[in-house]
Amino acid sequence: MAKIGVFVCWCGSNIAETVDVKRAAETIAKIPGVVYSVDYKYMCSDPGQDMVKNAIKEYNLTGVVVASCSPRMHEKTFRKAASEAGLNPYMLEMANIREHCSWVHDNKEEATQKAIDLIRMMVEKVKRNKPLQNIKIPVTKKALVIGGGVTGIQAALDIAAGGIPVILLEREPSIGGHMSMLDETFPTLDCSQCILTPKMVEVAQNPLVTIMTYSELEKLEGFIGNFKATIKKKARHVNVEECTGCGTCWTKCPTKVTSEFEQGLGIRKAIYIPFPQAIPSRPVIDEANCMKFTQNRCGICAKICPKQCISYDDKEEFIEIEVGSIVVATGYDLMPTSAFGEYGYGKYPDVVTSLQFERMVCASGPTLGDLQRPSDKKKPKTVVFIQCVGSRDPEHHKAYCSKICCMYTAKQTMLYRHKVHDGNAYVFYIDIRSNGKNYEEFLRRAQEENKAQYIRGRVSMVYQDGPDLVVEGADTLTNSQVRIRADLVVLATAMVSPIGVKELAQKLGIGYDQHGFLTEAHPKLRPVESATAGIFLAGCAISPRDIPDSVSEASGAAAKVLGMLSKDELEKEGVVAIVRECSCTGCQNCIRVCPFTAIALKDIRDKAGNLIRQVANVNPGLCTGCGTCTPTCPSRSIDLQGFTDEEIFAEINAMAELH
Amino acid sequence: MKEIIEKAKELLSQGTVDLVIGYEQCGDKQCRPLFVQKPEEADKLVFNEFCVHNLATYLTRPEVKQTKRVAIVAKGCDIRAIVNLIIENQSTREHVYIIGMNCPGVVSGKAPNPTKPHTKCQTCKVRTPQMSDVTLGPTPPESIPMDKTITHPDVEELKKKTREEKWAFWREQLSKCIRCYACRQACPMCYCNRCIVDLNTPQWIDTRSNLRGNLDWNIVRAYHLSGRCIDCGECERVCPANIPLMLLNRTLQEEVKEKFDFESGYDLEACPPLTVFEKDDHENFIR
Amino acid sequence: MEEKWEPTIIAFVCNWCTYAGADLAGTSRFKYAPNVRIIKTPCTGRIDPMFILSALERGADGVIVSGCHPNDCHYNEGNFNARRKYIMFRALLTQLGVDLDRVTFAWCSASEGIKFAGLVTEVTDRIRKMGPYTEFKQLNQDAR
Repeated sequence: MAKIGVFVCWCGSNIAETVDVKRAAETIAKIPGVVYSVDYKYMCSDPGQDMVKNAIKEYNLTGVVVASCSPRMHEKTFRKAASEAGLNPYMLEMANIREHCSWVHDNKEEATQKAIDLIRMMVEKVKRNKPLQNIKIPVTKKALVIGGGVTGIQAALDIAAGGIPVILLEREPSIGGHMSMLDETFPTLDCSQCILTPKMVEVAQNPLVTIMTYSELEKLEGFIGNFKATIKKKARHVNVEECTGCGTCWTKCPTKVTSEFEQGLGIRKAIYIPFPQAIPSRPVIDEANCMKFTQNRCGICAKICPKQCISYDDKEEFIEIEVGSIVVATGYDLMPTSAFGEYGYGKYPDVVTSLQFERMVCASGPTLGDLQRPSDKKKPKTVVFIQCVGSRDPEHHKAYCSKICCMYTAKQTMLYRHKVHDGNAYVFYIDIRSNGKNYEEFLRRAQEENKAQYIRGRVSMVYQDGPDLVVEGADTLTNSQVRIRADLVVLATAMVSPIGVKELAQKLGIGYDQHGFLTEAHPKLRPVESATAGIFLAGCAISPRDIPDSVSEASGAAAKVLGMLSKDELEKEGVVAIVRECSCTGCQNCIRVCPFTAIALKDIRDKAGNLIRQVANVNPGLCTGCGTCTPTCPSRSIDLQGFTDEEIFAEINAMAELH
Repeated sequence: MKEIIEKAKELLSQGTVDLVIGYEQCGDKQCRPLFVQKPEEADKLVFNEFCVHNLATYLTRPEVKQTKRVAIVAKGCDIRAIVNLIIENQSTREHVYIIGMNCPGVVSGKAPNPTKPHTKCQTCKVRTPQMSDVTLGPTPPESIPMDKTITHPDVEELKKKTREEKWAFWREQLSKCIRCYACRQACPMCYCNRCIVDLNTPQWIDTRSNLRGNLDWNIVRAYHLSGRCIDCGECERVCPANIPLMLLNRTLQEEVKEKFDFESGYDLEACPPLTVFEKDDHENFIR
Repeated sequence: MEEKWEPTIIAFVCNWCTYAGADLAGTSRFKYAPNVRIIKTPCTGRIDPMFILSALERGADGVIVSGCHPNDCHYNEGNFNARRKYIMFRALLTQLGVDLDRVTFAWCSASEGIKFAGLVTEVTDRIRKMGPYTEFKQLNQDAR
């Protein structure tokens, strides 16, 4: 027999002014099963909580209803109190008579009647509540970071600093990402390599970090604390253990290939390291271009390798790893420039992207920092920078702002003027966004000290006229047409999500938006978490960011990982689905609707091992308690604990008694 | 009908199956299901326009599930039920040997004096059965094209009524329900071990034969069949109270076709439409 | 003494959006009609069409079903699944002649306290004009 205690809170005058709390408590006391019903000024105060605890003990209460504020405010408080008094915390419910009643109604009679109804509904529910246990999940104390750019590197370092082993996964032959391609960085003009390389070395030398380059996630199974990842190690054809990175192979390799790292402005070999500071500094054979693979000839590298490290027969390998948590830091790509016919990219060699410009001015670039325009190696005397190429253009391309272009364009005008002191740098812009620490000051330096000339307006077209490029655009401030003869045009192309991210997100079971950027669990309050427990996000994988933001997010995600993996077991609420196996037909409706793949078929076998039938089976570690499965089951063989059919039906029925 | 008999004998004697479910004659204008376990029992098998039963309903019976493999005499429409049973994990393609029957149509109306051709046969898209292991019988008239949207005149007529008229109509019809659950027993898609109507914690549905209980029961059954009903009409045929149950079912199947562009029982790879969604599903009723 | 009839409205809401939106209406002190009784579920995906039917049969004159906007579901997909169920359930009730003007579906986010308050008042006013749902109350009487 239920023994329910009801505690009606005044919340000072917040409730008591509009609800006749005394009458409510007295009326509720008459409901069968209610053995104790009182009102008190502040239930959440220590004396208030003590009233609950004492009553639980004194009256052997089997259930409690606290009628006060929203459960969002104090459900935890009161459930903890109940628990301390020996009552299962899930046997306590709250009737929300403040936010949902006293604060939104004026008429005391009506509000009191409503409060009584709300309490009565909760009394009927709590009578049918069942004690639930929180679910404990064991944790694998190991993390996986996907993406070896500066974000991934930082995340791996921070996780390792907390004593947790990390696997850093990178699909390219080297870690380093886009930052390794940059020349100098805003707003301090640090040399990008100079600040990144030490971090790359640090992460390579950290005993807790395992770097897996030229590798991709093939499959992910499991759930928070217990993921099982299958990693595809692409065939490198070089024995990384034995190789010393001496460089004989790539020096002698006869096949020249356009270098991805140099953004097409330089060349590499078919066996190559992407850049001198690469980690690991071990080459990889590019099967698509190596003659051994395309024509079955050559084979020079294998012949001359002093340590016989080359093996053309290497096959891709699949490695299974178990991790407790994952950080996704897959970065960005630039929008394919084929999209911008009006700017002549691809048609005119002297129209380049901003990332190409970085390589053109970089001391480690193909010209060793000697700025030459691609067509005739001439030093450009006039450079036009065009911002928002593909960004902020909802009609044709991306509606969003790529966020970093204003600042790096300002930086590039400075880098340019440092190389060409009398050169003219023009910037076409829509708005200038310089809202970071020292960013506005930096921009002013570009404009005032380095004489970058900013023109507010869009460029309508770029065309070749003799050796020059002609840029035609509008100056919307003076309302005039502008025509500039330029030697070089630099496009600040939009940042987009890299190829393959959607497929990766689907493997991970995390959300992404229409642009392919990964979706945060909450854009403000949970910015580095995905909606899938145990998987965290950082950097440009979420949306365009600059280096400081990406690195901070990496540390944020690492802190989340460490917080999670600091415990031996994770605890989650007991509100999970449960299957009544006796009546389940195994029709798979619940399996099909479950957003978290928390339900699977389970075989029921007889003693001889013969399959008798199949039923649904809930993995409580994966179940988030949404209850979408329950109404989908025709025979009601799956129910959501904490919100069972019986409990909700009781709430509905509580109304029937009144009307 | 020699070919059915021969096929059944062959399947049983060669041990391909250990049970054949088919039809036997039981009166001039009436057939009934026949369960054949031995080759010599197969001589009674027939197929004609009185073979109205949807035998797929037996596939989910424990005795049939326990067989090593079962052969079933099935019209194109009955195969739609088999498809759904496979999709819903109640059977497997390997377990069922489908003796598909070319079918010009069956009769409607109550035995022993069925009169008119069945409504469902006029709109049949599978007179030549799909997916069968063997197809028997003379070539039937051409089927209605698969992509054609079918609207039933009786559904259209009901739709024309005002809300009050509809309510009055169904009040009258559902008042007749005696809660015998024959509809549930005959329906190949009603295979639960324990029906929701038999659940008492909570008791969603009043088990007494009053209008509230009758309404709830028929709402729940129709709702559970939405996107799953294969228009075999067995529920309506077996209803002793003559409630036009197919009127409800057809309404829902037309809605599924209109809103989700889906017809059940034709595609083994499909998911029941209420277990999936499209992000741009119709929602002009939501504010 | 004849009491003036007031409609009873039951609102089934999800925990993350509409329940929180109703909380926000409270903290913002947006006044609305006192006729609504809220039943909390984790997600619209949990809100079974049977809840709606039972509520109407057991004395509600109007029902509100509300949860997160599309793409905002805390569980990613619950509201999408729910929407399909309601589409079919509405088609069924329409054909049976059940008064669907008494059942209101709305998306209402945690930040839409004002929408929630307006919704409740609007629905209450509408149902008040329609009068008690006697057709279903009669069913209930008959069943006693």
